[in-house]
Amino acid sequence: MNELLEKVALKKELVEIIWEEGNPVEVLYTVSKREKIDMLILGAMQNEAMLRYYIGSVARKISRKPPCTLLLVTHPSKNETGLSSVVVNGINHSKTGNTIETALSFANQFDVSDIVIVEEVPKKQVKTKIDDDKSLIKAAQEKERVRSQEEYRIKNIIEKIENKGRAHIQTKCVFGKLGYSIGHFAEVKKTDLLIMNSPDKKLGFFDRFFPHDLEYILSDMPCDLMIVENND
Amino acid sequence: MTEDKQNKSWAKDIMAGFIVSLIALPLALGLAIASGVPPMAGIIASVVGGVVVALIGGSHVTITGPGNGLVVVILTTIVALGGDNLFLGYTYALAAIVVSGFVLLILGFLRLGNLADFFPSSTIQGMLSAIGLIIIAKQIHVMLGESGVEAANNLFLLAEIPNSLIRLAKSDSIPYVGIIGIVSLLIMFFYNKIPYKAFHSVPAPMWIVLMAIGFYYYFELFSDLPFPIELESLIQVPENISDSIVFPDFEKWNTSAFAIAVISISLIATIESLLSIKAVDKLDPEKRRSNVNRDLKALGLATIFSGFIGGLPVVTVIARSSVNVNNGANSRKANFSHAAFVALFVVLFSQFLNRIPLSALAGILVYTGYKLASPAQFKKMYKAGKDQFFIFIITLISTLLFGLINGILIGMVTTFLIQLFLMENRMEFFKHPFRSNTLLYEESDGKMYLSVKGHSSFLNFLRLKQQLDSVPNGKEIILDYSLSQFVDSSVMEHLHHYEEDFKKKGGNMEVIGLDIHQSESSHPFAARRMMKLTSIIKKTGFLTDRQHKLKDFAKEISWNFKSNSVFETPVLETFPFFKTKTIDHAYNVFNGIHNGLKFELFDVDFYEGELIARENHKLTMLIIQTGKTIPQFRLDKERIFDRIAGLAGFQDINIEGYEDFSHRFLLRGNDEEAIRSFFTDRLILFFESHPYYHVESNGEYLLIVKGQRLASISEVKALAVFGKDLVAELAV
Repeated sequence: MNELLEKVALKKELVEIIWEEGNPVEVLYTVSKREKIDMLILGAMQNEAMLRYYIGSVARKISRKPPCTLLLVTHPSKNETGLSSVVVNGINHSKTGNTIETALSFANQFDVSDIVIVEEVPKKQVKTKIDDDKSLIKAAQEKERVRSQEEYRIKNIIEKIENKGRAHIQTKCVFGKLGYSIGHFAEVKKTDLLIMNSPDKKLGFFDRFFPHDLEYILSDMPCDLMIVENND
Repeated sequence: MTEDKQNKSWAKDIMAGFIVSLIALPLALGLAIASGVPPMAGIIASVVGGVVVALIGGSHVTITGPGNGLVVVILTTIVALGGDNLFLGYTYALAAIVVSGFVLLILGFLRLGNLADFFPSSTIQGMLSAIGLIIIAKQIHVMLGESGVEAANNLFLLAEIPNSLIRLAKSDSIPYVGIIGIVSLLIMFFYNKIPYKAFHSVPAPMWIVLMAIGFYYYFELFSDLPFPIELESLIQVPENISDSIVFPDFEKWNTSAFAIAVISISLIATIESLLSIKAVDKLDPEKRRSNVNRDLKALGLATIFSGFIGGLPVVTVIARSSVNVNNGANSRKANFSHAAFVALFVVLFSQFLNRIPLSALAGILVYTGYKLASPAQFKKMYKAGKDQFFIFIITLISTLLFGLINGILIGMVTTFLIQLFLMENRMEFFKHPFRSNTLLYEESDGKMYLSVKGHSSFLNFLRLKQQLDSVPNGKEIILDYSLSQFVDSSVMEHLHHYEEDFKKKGGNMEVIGLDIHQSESSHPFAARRMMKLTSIIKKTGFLTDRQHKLKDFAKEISWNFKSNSVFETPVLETFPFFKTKTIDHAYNVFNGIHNGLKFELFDVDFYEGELIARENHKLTMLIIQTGKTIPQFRLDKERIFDRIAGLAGFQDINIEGYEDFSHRFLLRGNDEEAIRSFFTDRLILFFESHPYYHVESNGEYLLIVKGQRLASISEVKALAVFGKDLVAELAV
């Protein structure tokens, strides 16, 4: 262990090593609670084999109900070059403000140049059903209205944050399945890190069969993933 | 619309409806007889369908009435429910028709109007051809005047055709019935080849009716001989029209045969209607989009009414609709007027209708069967690739042998198995069919961008369709398949239609990222799957639509175009851009010389990281030889390119006096002084006045990149023009 630490040239005084026996998930869970950990960093596979996915690895199990903010590293070699682009979720949820704030301060420390805040809007929110040309126009207008509302909401959140950092912040409004769209977006944009809200309740076995929100990303991770849990 | 114009469109609709009714009348009679129900059942469907759908439907220029696809279903239903008692079977079938009307109504309310797009197109083609063959098998014997020919299944019935012909040739007296049938078939076949304009003012089926009635009156008025055709071989329309109203009998509602009948009728009615509506929308001169869900509800209601008074199910029919459009129809009033004229004819001329021999109508029906199962159809399927032809034939044969529902099920399972066989990563396939795989958003320049991941096949096409349908008219859309491994031929065909639709409505759709997907045939709808690297080198493959367009563009500017992979790109690696990236291969390469300098435009696949951390990229780039030594620099706006690690130490170089330029662009390089002197006033003005590109130099060559994905055709053109302009600017 010490050898490893020397390799990455970390100061020994800063590191505390805890050895504990038990089920890895439970140990990680209790230790992070006990020590009031700010961030838990885990390595994870990008895709998991079918059986593994449904049973669950340590990393996935913890991410389904994180004890604290969690960073899942799937692309370790990439991070040698530093982070440059980050995608943050901006869904209409009470946790989002905190997540964006954490993301911005994190981005500032790691010298991230680009932040895209993606506001996912579930399709149901656009009430007009598209049947013909008339309803198509109506739906497009409605989407435009939702888009400007969303942008305004995010703008308000960002304005309240004092230390915004130097990164270039963009917003993007995407209409689609929550959780799925942002993962696909991160993949298309070749993002380095995706920052998400923590799940509201523990994600169970059934959620793996009928994936929603975070489960979409966990089943096929486009890049490193940070799940922000607010412990205050 | 002015009053005058409105009157004119009214008149046009009524006229179009009149001409359609001339075809609809004989067809309605014929389809009803072929279905094994009284001829009036077809008339009822025409009249009720025309009126109800015209009043509450959601399409514009369609015609509704009895459809040829349902002939086979109704015939089977009557036998299955009624046994030997055909009239009883008819009343039971009416009950099934009424219930299927409710099914259609529910489908409409559940907004399942896109259901028809779910079935793989080769399966549907196979089923339609089978229906065509069945119609021919049943009707050709009637046409030849041989009633009562029966066989164990439809294939044997087809095999009976020579026997019927021989019996016809050997008959003792003149076989008037058979001759009338054959003449009607010939009229249907050669109608379009007859050059006289006056002849074309009456549609072919009406000529047949007129001929048959004329034949009768020749004997009645001019000949001393008795009319040579027996009563059984003539149409029987009751003198009193109210006699033809028959009510459904729901006694068999709880039998499994009834359930199968309802499912079959609903399925075929839905597919036939939805396919027709889609096809008619393409013909609509005003390019309107039909509200299919509303149309489904209207068809369901019409079918309920029709079934309650003894009529056939009501569906949207393509042939009559296209006649409608060709004759200037513009609104649903045409459908209404067609129904009104059919009703009028029956009321006024019912005694004339009784003079028409069944064989004449059978001739018309054999022709409609032939249209569904024509050799051209087989040829088309054969050209679409071996896999598609195989699915088509399997569906066709199993429909002939085991009925429609089993036929289409077998077809779908075959399609699925073949796709599984074609695929490389099969587990991946099971992961994706039932979950989202599309992402649609608006890019900052207003273009819509739609990315599809994983497998794109008939199983998950409806989701893609929903996204495509939500793109406003007149928008430009880029469909990116670079994250997808497999696209099946149904999807390719649908996309082809979407491309046409977008173009027609003033927009544009372009498919990118398919160029390195392999296909089995040159057919534009052939399924495409991601190639293995080894096969890319060996095989040039069949070009995609995008590659054809690129080739045309290359010709236009007299550059060379090579679609296959080129590995020798030593120049590329010298650019800082590729410092941390590994180049996989370049393809779709343009070579050209402009102003004595080499140009090279290409798509390139490269990746960062290795193994699990490997991230693949696909971009379109342009390399230009500068012909002189220039300082190394990078110029960009797209912040995403900042990630290039090798240039971490580079500082943004601001050029004084050009605040706007310095603000908008990031200019970096090691030799600040040389760069400052290289960026002359003219050059800065050039960059300021042109769209953003990422430009970098390695001292001798310039690398120009736009965006973070493969370029669409228009973007490729813009890139080439930008390069040329830049070279011209540098030469000054």
